[in-house]
Amino acid sequence: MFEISLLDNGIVKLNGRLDAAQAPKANEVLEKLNESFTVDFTELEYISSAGLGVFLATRKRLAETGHRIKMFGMNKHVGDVFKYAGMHQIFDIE
Amino acid sequence: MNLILARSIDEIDRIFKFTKEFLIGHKISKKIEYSINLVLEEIFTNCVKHNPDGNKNIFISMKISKNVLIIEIIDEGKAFNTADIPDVDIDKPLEERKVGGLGIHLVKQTMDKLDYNYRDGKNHIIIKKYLET
Repeated sequence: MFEISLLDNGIVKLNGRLDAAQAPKANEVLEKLNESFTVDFTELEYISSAGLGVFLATRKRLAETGHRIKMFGMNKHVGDVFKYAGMHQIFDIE
Repeated sequence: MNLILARSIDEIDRIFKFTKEFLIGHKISKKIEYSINLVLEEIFTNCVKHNPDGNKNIFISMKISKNVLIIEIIDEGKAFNTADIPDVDIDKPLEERKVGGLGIHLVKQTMDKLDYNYRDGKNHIIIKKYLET
């Protein structure tokens, strides 16, 4: 199960498991965002390289217009995947 | 324990159920459970992407022997040496980072050994993780 929603306060909320089968669903929401935004990872249990890829592509696209992505609430395992991939240097992770 | 998967990304759900079932009765940390799911997904996805038109199933076996977790993934089709994929430079700046290609890097980061051989028309990917005693 994976859910992604854009809350009224502009925060992108993730829930469940972001694997290769769910990455297109995440991309559908993220590709519509054209300004800096924040992602709430509190309820995200799992992410794989496919999920990282969606965020990296979005980060690269937004960088062209000077916008950034902030992230918070990662569990240790999800945080480790970001670190192993060197993504902690690319995103603003709290 | 064995699992046979159709060559479709939609099968990933079954990987998670398989891992959960396999770990019943084993004292395995949440961290290792996460790593098992991650490497199975990454290797399986690689097999599906590498040979999307193949009509053969992908076979996974997993066991623990003398505190070593051994995972074997067998994929029939043309040879594709997963272990030979070059390492990713994770220190590259954003503009030089490519989207994709991180899957095998994550496997190497989370497991202790990644071996590959090709025999009888099948790719064999063997992954080992030394478990804490």
